[in-house]
Amino acid sequence: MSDPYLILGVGAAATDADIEAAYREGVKRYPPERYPQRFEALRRAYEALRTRRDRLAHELFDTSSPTVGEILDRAAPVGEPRRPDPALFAALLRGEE
Amino acid sequence: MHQRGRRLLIEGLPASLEWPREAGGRRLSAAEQAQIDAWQAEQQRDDPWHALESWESLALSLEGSEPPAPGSDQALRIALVLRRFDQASDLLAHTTPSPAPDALDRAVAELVERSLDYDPDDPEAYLRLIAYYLGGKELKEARRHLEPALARWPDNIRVLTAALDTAVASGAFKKAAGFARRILAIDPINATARERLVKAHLAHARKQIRNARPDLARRELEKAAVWDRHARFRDPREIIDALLTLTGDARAGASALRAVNQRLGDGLASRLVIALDAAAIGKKPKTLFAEAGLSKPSAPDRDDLTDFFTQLRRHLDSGASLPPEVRAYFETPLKGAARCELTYQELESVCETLRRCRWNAPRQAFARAALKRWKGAPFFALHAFEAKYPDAPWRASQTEIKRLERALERARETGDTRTAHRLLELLDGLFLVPFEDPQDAPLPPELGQDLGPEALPMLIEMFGLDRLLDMLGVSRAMKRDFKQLEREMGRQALIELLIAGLHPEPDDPADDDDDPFNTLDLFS
Repeated sequence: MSDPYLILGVGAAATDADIEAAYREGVKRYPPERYPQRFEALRRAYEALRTRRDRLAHELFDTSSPTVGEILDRAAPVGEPRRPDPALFAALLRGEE
Repeated sequence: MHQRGRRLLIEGLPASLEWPREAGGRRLSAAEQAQIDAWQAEQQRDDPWHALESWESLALSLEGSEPPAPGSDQALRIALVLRRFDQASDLLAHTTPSPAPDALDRAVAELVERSLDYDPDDPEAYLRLIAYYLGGKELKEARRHLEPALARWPDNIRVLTAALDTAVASGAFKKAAGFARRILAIDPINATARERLVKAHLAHARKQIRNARPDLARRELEKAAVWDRHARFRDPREIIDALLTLTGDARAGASALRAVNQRLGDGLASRLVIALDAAAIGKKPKTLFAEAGLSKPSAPDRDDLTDFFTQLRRHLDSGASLPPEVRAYFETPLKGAARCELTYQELESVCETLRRCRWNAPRQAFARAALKRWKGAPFFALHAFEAKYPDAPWRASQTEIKRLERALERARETGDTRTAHRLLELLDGLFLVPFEDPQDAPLPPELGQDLGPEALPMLIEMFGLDRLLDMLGVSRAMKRDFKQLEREMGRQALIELLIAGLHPEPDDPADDDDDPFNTLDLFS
């Protein structure tokens, strides 16, 4: 699956409450009747990270590789179009961030 | 991203462990390397022991030099890793404890148990262990995990249900009824708990009859009746009631028993239901039916016979065994009933049910009757043979073995892979010398030296493929591949393939590193 942290737009240190808030916000923005695929991705991401136990299990056992799109998302998160920070981009390609 | 990026290293192991450093990043820690190794072992799925050991290595790496603080993320990580094999394979839910202490399931259970030291707050881990040990009737072990679970979650319905199951398995029916009541107090419409409560009261009533306490038995029966609102347990209640009456008033009891027998159809099936309940209170069916004035059951008709097997399956599904006195009482009429014209599917089911309870005399009778109607049918040939030689198949004559081999060929031709597989295993086992561990048996000296591939068919014939591969020190993975090949292509094709692998043609590109035979030196 795609990185659930990126789908929900939360950091690695997110708490149960942060995850729940991000999920609710996502559902408001992408209601299932209008955006079924986005909603499904949100739901799966929420289920993968819902509790501390789930987050640790995801960290330990999820074996899906990061995609190029995810690396770009990390380098230049959604917002105003801008050139990615070269240092961050290089670090991501080295697998350091 | 660094953490997720490690997934990219799985396929290139072990060389890929150096890639991050070569790309200018830092060296992977021991725990990170162990994690990638465990991911790969899990994905390969070919060696469960390797996967289990890989997860255990990761847990050890995560433990470090000092044990993590209870409740910390690191402690939870270790617990999750120790449970991972069971979680991914669902092994404990589908296995009963093996008698061998070094079996895979024992090792998995041990890791799950160790995980409780790091994360004692997960009821699921306790429940899996309790169910696993209950499945093997290891009640002491089940109780050892139940007690802390009950102390932590006294109102958890699943934990209470496990407690109820453990109490029933221990014969503590009063306790079981107490747990069922606690479940119903929390969840009044829990139909399963209600059923279990009725069953617990009925079992307790039987126990009280055995203990010569008819007053207490009567009380238990009354409680069972109160909870059995939909009369789903009317039959056992009436039978126990009649048996209880019989202990105090022979005439009234006999009359009640005859009435129940009549209501249940007055056939082989009704007698079986009554006999099973009578056996539970220590009464032999022959004595009981004589006391009740019930004659020996006559030859059953088709409906009665299918009903008999439905009742027998229901009894076996409950986890109970078939008491020897019940077996003895029904054996003769059942063998006679093999003449009854059942369909092919019905006979298949009959043979499998009789195999389940190791009731071999009637199983042989039914399999033979089926073979008269469907000549050479591999499924019934298998059952007829197994039933005839349940403990000593090597005593079979050559004619019988040839018959089995023909059945195997026919099963392969008709695409009946399941029966073919069972026949193959049976034939393999025929050549094992009894009471001897194949691992310890060396290749006889006269066969171990200077043998060419032409000896291969003879060796397979003599020892069976399994044992021969063991003696040759073939790895487990390769052995599995050979057996898979044999199932798919047949034994002759396997022999030819082995011979070709042992003695390749001069131009054969046998130096290819991928050629499995390069790793197997069979006769040097």
